[in-house]
Amino acid sequence: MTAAAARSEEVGALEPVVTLRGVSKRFGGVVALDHVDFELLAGEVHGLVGENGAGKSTMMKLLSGVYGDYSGEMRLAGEHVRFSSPADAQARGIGMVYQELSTFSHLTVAENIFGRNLPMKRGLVDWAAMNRAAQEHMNELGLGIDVTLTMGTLPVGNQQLVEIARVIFSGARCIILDEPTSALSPPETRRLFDFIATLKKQGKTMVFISHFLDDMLEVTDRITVLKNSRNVATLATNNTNKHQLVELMIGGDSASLKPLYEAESAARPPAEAHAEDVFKVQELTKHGAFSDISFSVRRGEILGLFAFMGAGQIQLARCLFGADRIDGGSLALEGRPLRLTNTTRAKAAGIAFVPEDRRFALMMQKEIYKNITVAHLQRLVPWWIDDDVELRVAEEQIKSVGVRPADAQLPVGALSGGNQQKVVLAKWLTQKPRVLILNEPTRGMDVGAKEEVITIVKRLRDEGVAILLVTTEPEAILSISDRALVMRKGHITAELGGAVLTKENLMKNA
Amino acid sequence: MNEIAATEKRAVPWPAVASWIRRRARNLAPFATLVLLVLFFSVTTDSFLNFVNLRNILAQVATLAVVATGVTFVLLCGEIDLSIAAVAMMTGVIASMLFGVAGVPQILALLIGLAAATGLGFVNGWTTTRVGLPSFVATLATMQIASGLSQNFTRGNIVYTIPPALKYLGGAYLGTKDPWRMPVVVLAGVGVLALGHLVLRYTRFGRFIYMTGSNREAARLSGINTKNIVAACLSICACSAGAAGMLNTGRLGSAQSYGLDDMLLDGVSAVVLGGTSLFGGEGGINNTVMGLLIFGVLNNGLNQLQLDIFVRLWVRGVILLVALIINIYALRIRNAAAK
Repeated sequence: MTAAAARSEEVGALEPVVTLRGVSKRFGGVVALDHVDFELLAGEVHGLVGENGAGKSTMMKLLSGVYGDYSGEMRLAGEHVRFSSPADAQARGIGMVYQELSTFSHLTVAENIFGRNLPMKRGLVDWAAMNRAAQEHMNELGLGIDVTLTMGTLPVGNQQLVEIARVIFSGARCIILDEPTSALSPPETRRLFDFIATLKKQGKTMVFISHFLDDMLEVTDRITVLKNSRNVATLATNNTNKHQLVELMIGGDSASLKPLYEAESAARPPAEAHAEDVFKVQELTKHGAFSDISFSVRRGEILGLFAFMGAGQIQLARCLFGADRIDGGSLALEGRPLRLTNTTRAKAAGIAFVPEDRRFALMMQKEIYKNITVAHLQRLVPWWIDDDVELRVAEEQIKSVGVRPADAQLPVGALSGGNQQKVVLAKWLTQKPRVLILNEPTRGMDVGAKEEVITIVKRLRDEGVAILLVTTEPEAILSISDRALVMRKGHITAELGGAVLTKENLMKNA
Repeated sequence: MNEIAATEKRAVPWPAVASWIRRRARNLAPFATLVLLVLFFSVTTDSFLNFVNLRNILAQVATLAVVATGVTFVLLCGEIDLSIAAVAMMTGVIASMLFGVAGVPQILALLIGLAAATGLGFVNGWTTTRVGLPSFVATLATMQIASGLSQNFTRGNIVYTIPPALKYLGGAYLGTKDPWRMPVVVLAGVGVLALGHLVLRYTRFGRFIYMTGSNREAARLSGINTKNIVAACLSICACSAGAAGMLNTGRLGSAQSYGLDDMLLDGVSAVVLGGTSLFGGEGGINNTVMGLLIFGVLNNGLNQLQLDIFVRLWVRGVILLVALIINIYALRIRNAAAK
């Protein structure tokens, strides 16, 4: 804290725009922000980093008026405020640009910029005036984008620039950018940074939230690190480096995790290291998502795939199950080439798939047993549907993975998230898969449910299933993976195993 | 979360009964509507509640039952087929002209008719699942094609050369003495409904239809070939529309390229009235049976009331609307119970 205070003096010429003093926010029993102090100075670009769950998004939602019920105080230009809604925050000059852009892709750029307040003339939209004003605004900001184009036809990078321009047009002096570079190509990122520099010259203040530390170090003036819901440091960017940031973000954690992980790997027979390759992926490419991906998963191995959101890992996993088409490359299962034109083929080949969101995996209104038997129905009831047989199979699975309440007739939507995830796993266990692709299998679960899911996955590994674990949580990888790949912006950047498989190395390469 | 939900349930008196009713709200609302309508017409008219009239109601909805079976398949996977009435007319025309004009044996004429109908259904399935047109638009186009073809074949004339098999299925009775004889068309309708129920309830294909309609992405990510499921449902629906069209020519004794337009609205509304969701995944043949009965009772009862013909139509519309509103509210109660 004292270091942060010193930096504040250093840039003391700048007025604070937003100040948080001792702000705490809880969700039931969970503390999301714990007595956080934060100062945003006029005209600076302020980075916000931290692991998943460190409190970044809570803080961002507090600043943008989504949450009004917190303890502590917020000051806006010295005046005490408490926003009642995002519209309220917007009216006072704080704008938010979300990672998932919320643009109207079928409307023109000009319409997007004006939003609800279209200029009218005799009861009709005054298109000429609107286009003129919007174009002027874009030119002022140094963006040469034609405002009469349809939003959806622009590349993602430009859509984002328009979204920022829109927020400014509606009066924002302070703009919060949430993961603005995650979906951008390098030249688009370059352009965004130039735009941020222009905005800074025009006196705008920005909060830059990102997982990408290189981007963060390049574009920000100061960086605040959140860890475990607390502000652990606010640093001047030119006095810090990637290593220090990673250290601050995960400091202490790695030490406490290591013994657990080492005990785990010591217990594993070393012979696994040269077990045969089950699932081989070669030079896989999907335009706009990932390119030139090669790796293989071995029998009885959990291969982790770590990446931040939007790196193309979700699309990659979907392609490995035939849910999306690939543009190039090849797959092989147990030495035989595999062409996946649809998911049915992937299933028949023995590949099981757990999507990143349970809404894509379960028919929520349908009974648990129907959700469990759906994947291998042909084997379970080869002739007529027999609910008694299905119930018997499902109840066995429910017991084996520990679904609670253990009532196979309940609609699956009535279960908690963790128990829903166990149903998703159970679905694929009525017949042992050769390859299991897991997307974020433990996201958003409480510790107990996480532990149970991990136990199931480990059991499958020990039974010889080749498992690919795709996740944005380094802990998930460290606790169960034998090897890990790291992916960044559509490419594999590292393969880590043994002693070099550390949280620090995962974060550095992502 | 679960504990909370459980304790709330326990607070309700007679929890088992309450939850049984809530879970079946989708089926109970149409049933209640049916009972109310029967009671109403029994009290207000003398001619409604007797065996012959009730049997007539069954005969009146029998061809509708055949097409409604197909519509149930399509609605269950969350699609729609607007071409059913046109396909029905076209199939009747094709079978009758092949038999009467081209001299094809009647069995072959019927099979070719059904094949033509199924073929158009296959086109619906292909454009919907492989090309990616919404079924609403794709079937609108095939509706025109089917309707245009039957006009082209008949040149606007009425075809009276109906294959005898169709005359039998559509117009004959089993038994001779009046109160106890049963129209064959009723048996045909019941047979098709039973077949539909068998497929939907007791085959993997049927289960996959429900899963596809309930959550298409989840079904796909469970390894179900949802495109084939949807395409098959659209083909089945067209085939059933063809069968209904042929039964109808048998019942009327002639085939023509017009006059069956009501079948589209009647077929879809009977299925929806029964409580099958337009958005897929919920409902089934038992719901469709209920919807058909409501529909038949309503039409027949309004006739018995001897309402002005010009009044009847909008009154029927209002009653249908009210029944649909009741369905939706019943569904909301049930969904609230599931949460």
